[in-house]
Amino acid sequence: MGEEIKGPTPKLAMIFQDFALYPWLTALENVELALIHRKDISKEVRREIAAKYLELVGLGGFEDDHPRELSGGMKQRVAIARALAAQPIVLLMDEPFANLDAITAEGLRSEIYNMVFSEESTVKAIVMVSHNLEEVVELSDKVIVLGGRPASIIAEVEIKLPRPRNTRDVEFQDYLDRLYSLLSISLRT
Amino acid sequence: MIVTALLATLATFGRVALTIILSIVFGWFLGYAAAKNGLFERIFLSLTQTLEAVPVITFFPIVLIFFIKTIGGYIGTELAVDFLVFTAVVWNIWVGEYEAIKTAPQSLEDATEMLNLSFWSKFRYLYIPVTMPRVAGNVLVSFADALFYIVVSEVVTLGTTSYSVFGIGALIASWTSHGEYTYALLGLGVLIIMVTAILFGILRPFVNWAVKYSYDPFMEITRTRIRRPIVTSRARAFVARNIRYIRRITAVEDAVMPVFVRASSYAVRHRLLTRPRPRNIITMTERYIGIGIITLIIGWIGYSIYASWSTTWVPIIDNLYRNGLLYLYYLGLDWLRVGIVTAAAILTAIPINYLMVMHRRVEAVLLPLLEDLASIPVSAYLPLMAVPFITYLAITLGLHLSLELLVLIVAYLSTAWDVAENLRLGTWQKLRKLAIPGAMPATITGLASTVGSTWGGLEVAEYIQGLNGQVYMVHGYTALMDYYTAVGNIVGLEAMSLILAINVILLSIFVWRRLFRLARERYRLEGAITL
Repeated sequence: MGEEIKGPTPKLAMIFQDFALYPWLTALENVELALIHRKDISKEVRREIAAKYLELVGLGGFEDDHPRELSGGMKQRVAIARALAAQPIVLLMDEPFANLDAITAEGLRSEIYNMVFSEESTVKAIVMVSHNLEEVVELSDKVIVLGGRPASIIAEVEIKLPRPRNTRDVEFQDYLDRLYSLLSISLRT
Repeated sequence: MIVTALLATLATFGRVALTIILSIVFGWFLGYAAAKNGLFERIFLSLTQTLEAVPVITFFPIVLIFFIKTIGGYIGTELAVDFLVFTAVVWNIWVGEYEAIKTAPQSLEDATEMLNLSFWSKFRYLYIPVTMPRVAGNVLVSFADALFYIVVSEVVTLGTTSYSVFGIGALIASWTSHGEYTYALLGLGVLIIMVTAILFGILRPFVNWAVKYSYDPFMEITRTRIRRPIVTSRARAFVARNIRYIRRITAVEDAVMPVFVRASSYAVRHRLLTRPRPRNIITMTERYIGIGIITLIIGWIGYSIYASWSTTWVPIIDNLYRNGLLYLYYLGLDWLRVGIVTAAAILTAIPINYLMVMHRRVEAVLLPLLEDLASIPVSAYLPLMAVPFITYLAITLGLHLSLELLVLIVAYLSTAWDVAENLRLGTWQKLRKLAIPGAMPATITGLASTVGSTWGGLEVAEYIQGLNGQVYMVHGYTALMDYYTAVGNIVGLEAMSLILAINVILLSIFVWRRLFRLARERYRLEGAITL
């Protein structure tokens, strides 16, 4: 992009820790919100696009359910569909799996890569904030370790593992150990 | 006669509905402006807090004179009545909407930015929906308040002229004063039935519906299964259908309550965990604008006093000089009454609420009953009750004492439900376990409006026009104001309104503002989750 971003723009989309779904709208309407600012598409087209993205995240058939009728993992999928529907270039994720139970989080982690970098998606890069090092190693190409107050960059680690990654691999565990030691140093200082 | 009563009740309800809807719509924009702009927020909060505690009804004669003099005729009276009801319902709705918008979940607000929503889309998809639970809760209270004020204000005698608009309050009053008690009772019956219908047909479903607008991202509703009974005959099919319907309703109520409680606890957690939102900071420009506006207002007031000095203010000051001590004595008397009544109301409300909190069955019976009673205005049945009551008691106790008793009872009746309502909301939040501590914040913030209601009750009860224009009155501030209104002593009325205004301003600065601040600081967490 090459330009400084100072405020919200359609080129950036965000996934929130608490999903940030509007409880008074259905799953489909929540996704449609991402397209409402676009005056060039009709209501019908908007519905179609939204339905397509819900299908992409595996929620075809849940269009008319309200967020409270969906499980935590499904809610986060709706949020992902909404973010993708905005057709951003960069996706920001603020601890997207923090409020999910372990099994759901694991399932979603293994799928999210394919969802976000599928053919329908415009996303070129993801910036994710996380405290869960296993999920960091599983998903990232490049890890930036922050520490101190105010936070500053302590280290940059590139993760050169082929995908899909297996958490039981020796190399995977090596990366994990390295990140843990970096973090514990940052906590001590 | 029933048709007339029905039409009159509809006219009255129409006024109430119109004022409530207007309040809600204006409240969205004012609440938004206050939540986003520091200067506006400070003005908005001081004004609403002050005006919420004002017994507006006591200023009604002055309002009426203003409207009748400037506009005149039926429309003038109609506007005066609507204005009065507006001032009675609007403040709690506005404050509720402001607080809901101010505490709208941060992530949802961020999402509106991210999704590039326009100003109107933000309103439609975020700011209006977040206010729904608070609006629903406050509409119940406002409906009761509005009916109370409207029934009183529909008919007013000013000097020798009587001004009235078409409505159930005016109708009952006119029937009572002509001695047609059967008709009056009939009218009252129609009113009670209609109030019940509105409460259970519209307002309670509205409250239940609004629960879905509370934000709890981690909430998952439990789907209830209803067993289908085996049906053999037509009659049994009918019974079964109804049983199924009732079961479904109870299942939904059971499902909704925990959801509401969880949503409340989420709101508390949300406030604790997310970054706190202090009041907006006032910028230097805003400060100068504020000072400018205040200077303009003071200048305008100063000029208008100067311009009307000899015609308006000299007689008022003269009147104050001659009768000031009497006014103050009467004011003291009325405050004594307010104090007695408020204490009595709180003392009776606490055990009732404790019972309701501890026993779900008692609550199931009492709650709808209390809500209904709260909405049937005392002012409607007062004229009916007063005459026989006084005639009977006057024989045994003497006229003055029985009048005094009546005043206290009526003021109590117009207050008790208010306290019950405030306490109930408080206890509800505390998961039905901690009765009294849980009720504290709601009681403190509710006290101001409660005292306002008591003044309303006094206004109605201290001065009663009975049969053939015979007047029953006690020594009291509002009684004297009513008397001045009836005989057309406008200078006296203005002098008394002035004293009342000063009294209200002092009270709001030294008492209510402090109490509100205390409630907000100490119980800030609970403040966010009032339904």
